Amino acid sequence: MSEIQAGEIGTGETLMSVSDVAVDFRARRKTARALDGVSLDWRPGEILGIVGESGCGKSTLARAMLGLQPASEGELTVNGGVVAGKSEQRALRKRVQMIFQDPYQSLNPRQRVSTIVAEPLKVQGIAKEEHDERVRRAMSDVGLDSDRYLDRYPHQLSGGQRQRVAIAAALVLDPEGLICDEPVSMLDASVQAQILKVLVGLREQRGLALIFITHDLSLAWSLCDRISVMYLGRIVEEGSAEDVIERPQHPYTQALVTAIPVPTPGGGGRRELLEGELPDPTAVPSGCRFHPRCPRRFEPCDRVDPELIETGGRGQRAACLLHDPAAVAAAERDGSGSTA
Amino acid sequence: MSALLEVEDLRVTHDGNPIVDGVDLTLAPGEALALAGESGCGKTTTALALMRLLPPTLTQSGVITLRPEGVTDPINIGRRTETGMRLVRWRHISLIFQGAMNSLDPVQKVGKQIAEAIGIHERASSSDIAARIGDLLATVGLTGGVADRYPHELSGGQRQRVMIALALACGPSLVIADEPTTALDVVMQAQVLQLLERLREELGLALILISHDLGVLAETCDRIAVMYAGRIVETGSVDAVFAAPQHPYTKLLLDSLPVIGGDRGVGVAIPGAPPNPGEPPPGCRFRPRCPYSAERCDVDPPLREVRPGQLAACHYAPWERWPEPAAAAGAEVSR
Repeated sequence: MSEIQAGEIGTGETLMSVSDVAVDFRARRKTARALDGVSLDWRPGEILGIVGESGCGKSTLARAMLGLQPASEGELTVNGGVVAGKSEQRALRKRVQMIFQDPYQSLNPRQRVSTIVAEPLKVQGIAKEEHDERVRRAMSDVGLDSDRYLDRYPHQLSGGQRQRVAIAAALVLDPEGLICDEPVSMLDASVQAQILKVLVGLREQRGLALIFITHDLSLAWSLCDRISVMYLGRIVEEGSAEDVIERPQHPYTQALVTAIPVPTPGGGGRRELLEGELPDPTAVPSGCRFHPRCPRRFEPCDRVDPELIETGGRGQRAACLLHDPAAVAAAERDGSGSTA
Repeated sequence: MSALLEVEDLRVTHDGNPIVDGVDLTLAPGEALALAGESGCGKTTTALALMRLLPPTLTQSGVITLRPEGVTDPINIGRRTETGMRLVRWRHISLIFQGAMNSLDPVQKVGKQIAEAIGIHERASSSDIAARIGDLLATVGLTGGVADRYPHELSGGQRQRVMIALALACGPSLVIADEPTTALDVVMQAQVLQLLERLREELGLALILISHDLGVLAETCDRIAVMYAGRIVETGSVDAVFAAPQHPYTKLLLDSLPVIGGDRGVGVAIPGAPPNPGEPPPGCRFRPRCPYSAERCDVDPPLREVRPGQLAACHYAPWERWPEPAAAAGAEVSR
């Protein structure tokens, strides 16, 4: 496997692959497995959504993908090259950048916009003569007038403008991928669409691949090509955005979709809601980790840990024994049926 | 039936700048009113004014009348003294704050906090209070054991339920919930909204629900008031307003939301940003961001009935058909 060369252009099938990655957090004598055997492929120019409740591991996954969070198992490959050491991580960050939820906390309040946006160039040792031009280009990419905003401090900007500055700083290295962790959840509805337009425009204009980490399923549905649904450190369903949200196959995804508030009067109506809360990650339930909350659990679910199973033939997969014909047949034979 | 709550010409100023600028509201017993709008539009300030909980730097005026069932004389909230308000708050109107995590006392057990709230309004034996706490926790779907826990031992959803139990402790007829689900995940949010709905049915509570999330409001409320820059710009039944909004701001807010099953892709962005609180632009306040604005918009439009039961503050309402917006959409963001 070749090492990643700085500045090398992605030609592989995937921009980045995550294979069987596990992340553990240790607290006193307990270990919480925040990610457990997560694999995914992120293709060039693709918008990939990662959805789930808080605590499901979606932000940990993003941090692990950037090498900000050491993985205890598994590996990360970028364009066919394994990310093993510090130098590869540095090269990785030229290609994949990240923006965060809170534009009020992610910008240094004592730096001017010009310094903030140029910072990654400095870190990567790009020649100083290039800085001004690249900063201005990044600013114009996010729809901010350089002459007007470069000399300002973050507190002189609105929330939407700050998030644009954060995106400009992420773009200044011309990355191929941008991981966005809840990029608009702190912004007002009218400003959200402005930021999303900028991000989707970058995909259209320069083929930037995006990962959208969000708990907002409507948003993920409207923007993403593919969606992965996480539950307690695992991907439990994946597929095209339409398939996953409009025809969810995992009971957990079905429950999430049912819970979305609908902006049409009477659209929600009475519905069955998931009970309880995400379990403690230091005490993951046996078998399928969703079984204690699952309305459709049946006999084997508390002992058999399901893998992702192909469900529709179009690449949609769900980690649920309901899609395992052998498990369903065995349960019917035993006459146990559904306990719900 | 006479209104439970009537608000006339509510104004809140900060150094003479209008934060809330002439808001009228009425609420029938048991009714749920949605208060929508972006941050800084005056929603929370309105809620705090109804409770007379504004910080001393803000001045309020206007008439706020509350007529709880079983109380003979209407309560004139606007003219009550602080001592007088203490008898009204929690007993007749309660407020569920945004971010339940921060509004519970971290060093007191949950049960004790509820007991204190009850103790302010009535004398009851400790065994009565304990039974009431058990009932209240059950009402909001928590086990009695939660009474012996500290807030940090509870999840976000559980803390929000405790806040609701506290709000219900003295049997108010009106609960104001300010972004009660904003910090919660979609599943927890749906659970809390279902709880609020159930409480309305079972206890006949009236509810003012404040949220920037139109989906949440559409599901929970009967009527809606949309605020922009300190004013109500549109109000009517939730069904009417969502089906055919009559103010450009409401229309654009609705257009910016993705609706599963509809068109995918980024919704329509509203150009620009809301004005700073207390610094509304002259004329129609929405004019600088409005893609439909025209010459009459330099005159401040009054809120008037434009369709039966639906009011909008727009000179050009009612809108039979929305024209293609001019090039305004996507304009440079500036304030």
